[in-house]
Amino acid sequence: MNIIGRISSGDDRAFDELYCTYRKGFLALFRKCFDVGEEDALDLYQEACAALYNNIRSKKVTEDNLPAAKVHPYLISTGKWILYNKRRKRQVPLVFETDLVMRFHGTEEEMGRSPIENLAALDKVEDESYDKEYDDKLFVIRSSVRDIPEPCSRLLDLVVFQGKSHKEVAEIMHYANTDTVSSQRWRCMQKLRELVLSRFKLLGYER
Amino acid sequence: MNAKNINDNLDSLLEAAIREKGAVLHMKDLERKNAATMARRVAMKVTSYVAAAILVLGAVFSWKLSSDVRKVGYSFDLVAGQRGGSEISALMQEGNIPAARLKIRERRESLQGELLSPPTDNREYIAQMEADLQELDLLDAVCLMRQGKFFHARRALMRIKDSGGPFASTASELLEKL
Repeated sequence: MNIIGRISSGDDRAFDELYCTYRKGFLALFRKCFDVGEEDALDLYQEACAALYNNIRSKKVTEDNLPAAKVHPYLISTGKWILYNKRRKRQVPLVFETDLVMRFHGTEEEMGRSPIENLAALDKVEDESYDKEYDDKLFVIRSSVRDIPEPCSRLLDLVVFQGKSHKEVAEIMHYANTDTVSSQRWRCMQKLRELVLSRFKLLGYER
Repeated sequence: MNAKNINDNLDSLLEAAIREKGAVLHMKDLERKNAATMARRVAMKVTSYVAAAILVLGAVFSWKLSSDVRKVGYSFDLVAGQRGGSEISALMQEGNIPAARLKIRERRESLQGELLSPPTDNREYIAQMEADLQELDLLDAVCLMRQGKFFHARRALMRIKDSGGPFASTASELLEKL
């Protein structure tokens, strides 16, 4: 089972291993080829890893369609795609197909070119998928998840991100039983949905 | 996925956003922990380098002291007045310092025994025995110097100097050379 398979099966340490394994190479490439500052390069890397993680959990990326040798190029391409979207002040989709990022797959020429040339080449990539309404709605979804208050923020993190069982969540959050966890989870998701839809409405997107 | 069907897939997108937020926070936490571990490792390395440097400097300093005190010890003239008796002087001149110190110890014990119950009340005789004892202390201090034992020798010379006896000035001269 490669690292993708291990993350998919819920191995807690696998994601940390992935993060530490590819960190140095990713930061070095973006600093050299795109003249990205250290902190910005780290932000890009963390967003690329988060995107990969989401795609693994959504089954868009599996052990079969992303062998171990392709993980590094995938992260680099994702990083470039994120950089491309940031330069256009656009949102990066939360879940996406692999071929979308592989348009940004680099070549060895990049290493020999200046950062200005590399950025110019990046900007030339055409993206006909851009949709302003989709972009705005993604922004609303992300900001609403950030803004949801406690205890919903913690509960949803435990259940959705950390994958804790309802029994574990009940112990951590001192709920009476697992039924309480289920009903609280439903209520929190409902709150989040209502927040998002009300913000869609404010932006003029009724449905 | 596009804007039209985003509402139909809202729950899955919300879960994706929750995972994304959780993953980013987790990675920032990992960075903090790794940075703390690195800082600890650097601190340990620096501490071990400083300790090694102190050891090396200490060893060099100690060697220098030992070398200097030996030179002073060997410059001391044993022949003048056949100090301590010919046997002790002879052993010191041969460089057989352990044997010389043993003889000094034996002679000291003998003199101390005599002083406890002297064969005579003659004050000059007793004063001479006390002077002989101090001379043995001086020779022992010179032996320590020739062995490179700076701090032991210094302490012994300080005791002789502070006692104010006949060899106090000689001890003082040797202390100045150290």
